[in-house]
Amino acid sequence: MAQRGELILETRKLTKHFGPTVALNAVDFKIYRGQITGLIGENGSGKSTITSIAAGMQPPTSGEMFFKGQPHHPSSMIEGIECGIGMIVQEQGTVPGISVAENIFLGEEKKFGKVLISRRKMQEEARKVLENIGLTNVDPAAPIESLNMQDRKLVEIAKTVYMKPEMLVVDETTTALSQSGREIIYDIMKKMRDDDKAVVFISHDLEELMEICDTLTVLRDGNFIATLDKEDFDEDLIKKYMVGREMTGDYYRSDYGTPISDEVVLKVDDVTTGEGMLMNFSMELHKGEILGIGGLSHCGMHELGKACFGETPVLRGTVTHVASGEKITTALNAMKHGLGYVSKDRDKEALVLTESIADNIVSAGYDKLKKGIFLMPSDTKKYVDKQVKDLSIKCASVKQDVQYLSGGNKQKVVFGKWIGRECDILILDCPTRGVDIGVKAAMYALINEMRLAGKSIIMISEEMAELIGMCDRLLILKDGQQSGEFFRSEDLNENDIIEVMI
Amino acid sequence: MKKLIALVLAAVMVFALAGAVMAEEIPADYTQVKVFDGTYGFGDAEITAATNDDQSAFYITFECFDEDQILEGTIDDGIVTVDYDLTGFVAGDAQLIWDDAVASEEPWTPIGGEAPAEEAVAEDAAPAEDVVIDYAFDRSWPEEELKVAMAVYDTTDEQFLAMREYNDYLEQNFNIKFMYSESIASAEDEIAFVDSAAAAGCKAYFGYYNIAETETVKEAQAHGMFYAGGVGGVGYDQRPELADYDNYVGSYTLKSDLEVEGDHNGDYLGGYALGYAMAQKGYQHIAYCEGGASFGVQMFVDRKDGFIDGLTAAGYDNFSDADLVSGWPGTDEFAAQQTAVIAGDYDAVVSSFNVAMWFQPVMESGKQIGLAAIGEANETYKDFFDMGVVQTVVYDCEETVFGVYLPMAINAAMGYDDMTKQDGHPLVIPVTRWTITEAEQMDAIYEYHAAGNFFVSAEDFAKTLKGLNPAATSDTYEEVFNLTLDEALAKIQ
Amino acid sequence: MSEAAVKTKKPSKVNARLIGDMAPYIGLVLVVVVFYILTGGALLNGTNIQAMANNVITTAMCTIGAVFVFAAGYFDMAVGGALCFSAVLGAMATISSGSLFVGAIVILAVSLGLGCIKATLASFVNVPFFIFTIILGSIFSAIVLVIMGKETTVLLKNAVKPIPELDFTQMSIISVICLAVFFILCLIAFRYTPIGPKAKNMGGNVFAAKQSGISKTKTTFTVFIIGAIGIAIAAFLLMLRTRTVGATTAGSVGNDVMVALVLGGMPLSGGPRSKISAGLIGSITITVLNSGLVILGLNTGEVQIIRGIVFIVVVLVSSLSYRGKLLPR
Repeated sequence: MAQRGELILETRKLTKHFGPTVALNAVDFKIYRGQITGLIGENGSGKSTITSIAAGMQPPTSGEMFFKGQPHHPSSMIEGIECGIGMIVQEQGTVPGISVAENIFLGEEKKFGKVLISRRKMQEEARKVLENIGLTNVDPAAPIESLNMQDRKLVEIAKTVYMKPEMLVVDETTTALSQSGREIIYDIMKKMRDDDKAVVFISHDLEELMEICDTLTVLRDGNFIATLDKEDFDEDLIKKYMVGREMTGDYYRSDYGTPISDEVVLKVDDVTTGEGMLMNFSMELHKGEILGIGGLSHCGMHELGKACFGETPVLRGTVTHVASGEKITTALNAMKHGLGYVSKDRDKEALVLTESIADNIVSAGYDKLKKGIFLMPSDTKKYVDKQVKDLSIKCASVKQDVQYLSGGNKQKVVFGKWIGRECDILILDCPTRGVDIGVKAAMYALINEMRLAGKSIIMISEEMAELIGMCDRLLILKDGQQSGEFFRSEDLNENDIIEVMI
Repeated sequence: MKKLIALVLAAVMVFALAGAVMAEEIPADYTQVKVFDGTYGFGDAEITAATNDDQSAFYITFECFDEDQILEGTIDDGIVTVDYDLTGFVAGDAQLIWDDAVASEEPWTPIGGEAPAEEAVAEDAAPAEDVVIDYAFDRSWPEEELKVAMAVYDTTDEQFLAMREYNDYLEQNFNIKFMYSESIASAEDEIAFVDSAAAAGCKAYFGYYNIAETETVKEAQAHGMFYAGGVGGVGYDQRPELADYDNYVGSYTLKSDLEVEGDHNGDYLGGYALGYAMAQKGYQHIAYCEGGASFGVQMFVDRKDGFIDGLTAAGYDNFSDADLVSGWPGTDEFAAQQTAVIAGDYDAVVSSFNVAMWFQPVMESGKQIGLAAIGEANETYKDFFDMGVVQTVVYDCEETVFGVYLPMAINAAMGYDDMTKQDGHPLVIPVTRWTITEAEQMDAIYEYHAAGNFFVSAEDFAKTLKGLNPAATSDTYEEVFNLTLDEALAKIQ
Repeated sequence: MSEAAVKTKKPSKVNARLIGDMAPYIGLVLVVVVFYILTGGALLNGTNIQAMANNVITTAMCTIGAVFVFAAGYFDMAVGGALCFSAVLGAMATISSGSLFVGAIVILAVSLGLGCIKATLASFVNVPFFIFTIILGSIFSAIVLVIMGKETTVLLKNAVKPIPELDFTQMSIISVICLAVFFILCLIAFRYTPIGPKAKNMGGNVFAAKQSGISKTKTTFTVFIIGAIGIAIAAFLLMLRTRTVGATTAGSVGNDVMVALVLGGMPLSGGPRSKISAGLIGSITITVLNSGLVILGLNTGEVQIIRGIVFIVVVLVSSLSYRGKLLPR
């Protein structure tokens, strides 16, 4: 039973913008000692943002924060730690190349000797730190890479706990851990609560949250929605708070009941990918269809997109371009058969940031543009100008480096790359990620136009609303396998989907 | 200076006397004579050898076994045929004696007191011509600045830096300017330097280093520059094709201040001098660093051959292949051999290249091991000479050995054709590399240089420049530059 | 970033970019003017211009070809080694056959072969390429020494049949023609065919290039072959001019290529900022600089200092036009 202690962290009208994107919208939020506070929301709801601002990872755009009653503006995570806020994240937080002990005491080596660092003393301390959270099987002298992902994460946790934070934030950490790992974290959280410290627990796993947390706050689209105490926990209610949103008219498609053609254009047969979780997966893409692929992160949907484009090694099974009968094994032959791919990782995989808009747009179109061996500037100019105009890419000039564009315009450039080629099959992975509402709407319109023109589209997304609004058919993946299939209908709602997703 | 003149006059008198004396005994057919010492099967003797104008006949007299000996006969292509043997048992030595006569550095003195032959004048003496140059040594000559290009292999090399000091000295006295290349690493760098030198207005090119062989000469000629220097390390005497290039002036050829039989190149003579000197000093077990000889690099093969012959000539018979240290310092192999030598019973080490890497090991071992090398007259060698560690150094004095290129090039650039050819072909001027065997000698040379003096002073140098000394001929080069060690040391006195 | 933010950044960024882009040209003009004055005009007299034409050819041919290689993100330090290797084998072939034509064929074949070796290593082995090139450079030199045996130099005059000799002026003319033709062809390839854009794309982001359907293998082989052609022509002209080839030939070319690229305003990490003009401008700048320094007759230390200063200034100003590192990833 939660005995709520005093208020430790308070935010007032905390706001955070990322360019045009509103990540937090005037959020008032309170965290108390002696409680495990859960934070839940969809992707982009702002739950990570709010805690990362508190921990000093980034500054807010506006609003106030108070920690232990004092105004709180940490300029860095180090300051955050010094104030007493410790944070454990999902990504890898240990430094490779050094030992466990050295990782734990990174930045504090002076404690073990002014000139010569006593490794022995460091390792002894490290052992104590690890035992503190129950990690007895880890050797402090071992190189960090010799540990598996879970143990590495636990070392990180041990380090953070050792700092004796007043408030511990656990951000989506449990997803990567096994049950035993999770138990360790739960124990830590409970111990801290019992010590009258505060814990903020962010997770996608509603069951877990409901079990561990004393109170649960729901955010949605950067807005604070509700806080529930343990006795009021109700799964359906929470889910409703998470997803309930107005769907404005023609933001997505407005048609219903459009029949899906029988003609199969792309066939995925029993595919297991080398990377990620996709296993023995099969599906078919029909002509003129928008096929949605959804699920939680790490469910294998991104690997599916890559596999369809020949961008990731396929250990078993085949991806076949049905019209020609040929297997898709590389990006090159995928493109030859009229496939296009918009990667989720825009900056790293889809664009050359130091290159101009024009060169990026042309980069996928050499074979279409060249005359003999020559590539005439006049031809490329026409090609580029058309895309810039059609997509309304806002830029000072097409010679401008792509890195200076906003997220939305960058995404338009990526689209331009593939639309210019007039691909028949387009694989879109999180196409509207990091894109503001205005651009999103334009993209949905574009995708719809392509569909009407007979193109076939695979749309992979972590945003359910988008999938529901745009797709003819929706496949949900869970742990690398298909867990559900839905068809476009006005009645289809996110609750149905979440059931099979989580 | 006066002493020199006195010495010269004395020498002339002696020769005249010798000529007169000889003239009584020698038949009229013979027109020139020389006197020299030699050692043969019958022992040591002072040989008087006479020959005719074209050296096709000989008349040799000497004394041995307390008897007068006379040999007479003909010479055909260097091979002697004895027609007359007074005592009947020395004919077998006739060839050797004649070869020595030819090789001897004594000049052929005309019988009958004619003007000296055109060949080089006596080398004992310093410049025989008592010439007084009317020039203030104030950089007023030549009127127009004369630029001389100099190709360099390594601009940090000691020998080059010493050469540069001499050049700077000359620049202070004459209106000439040197243009140096950067360290030339390849043929194209060298050709590029020739082009740059021409563009900068150089009229003469000094091939202190040459890698592109005759291409460099050709390139220089294309630019109208005169080339003085070796090509691939040798001059016209070994590269007759150099005569095809009108702009090729000539080079030096190295001689030793020791008397050596036969006609050998500078490398051989250097090695010979080392071997001979160290054997003479009484060393019993000498190790030899043969450098590139084991790889077949000709320069080192010659040095090694010379070394072994030098040992033999001095009566040393203890040399075998086991005494060879091969390869270069910096390798484990060399270090191992070095350790073995020092640990063994060697009392001397001769190196065909630098010997500095032996200094420390020898000092540390505490053993008395004498070192010898072809080296420099610099502070390091001087110090180690004084300490008795270094015993012999074969030294190419920069100004006397390399310096001879400069007047050649300058005369050519100024258009004095008669100073640029000898008997119609490019010059080959013999110069002597010194075998320094005493610490006092090394000290003297080092101190002399350290005080800013040069063995070919500006005044001496001027004697070889036709523009300043109208009486200069192509023989003057040798007179001025070809100094033996003794002659050089005499200058210091 | 919002559109408004983009617009306000434009003026200063574009100006910096403009200065950065013009820096190599400004550098060249400055070097020419300064040394013309300091050498009293000797720098630009007829003889020296021809001399510089003869000198620039080696570096320029290699550098222009290297633009492709470096643009694709490959840091090739074995250019000099490849040139020496080709030249030595070509010279030996010329001597034994008495024919320049045979020599030329051998040079081309060897150079292309070496280019393919580099391309294979770059495409298929998962080790940063520049590590290979360092090793390759040493290997090439070592093999040359072994092949040459006791001889330190290969002299064309030892050929079984006389090899035609070209004089200074003839050589200059041939050099200029070869340079002009090669440069124009490379310019066309770099700007008017997909080769240049593909290489730059790959150099900018190899993952994005792959996803855009640019074949890493094909592009890699293409750039190394172009580079090899430049090296082959340079080797042939070198052999023709100096008629002396040895283990030390082209010793400094590797360094000169990199300095030329940088002086020409191209980042050594390649990518979209690569420009074909860098090959030409940079080589000319270096040649003029070297020529001027030799004519001035400074000592070694002073020469190095001046070179260093020129280098730093041009690099600093050029880097205004691009963010990012100069060195390989």
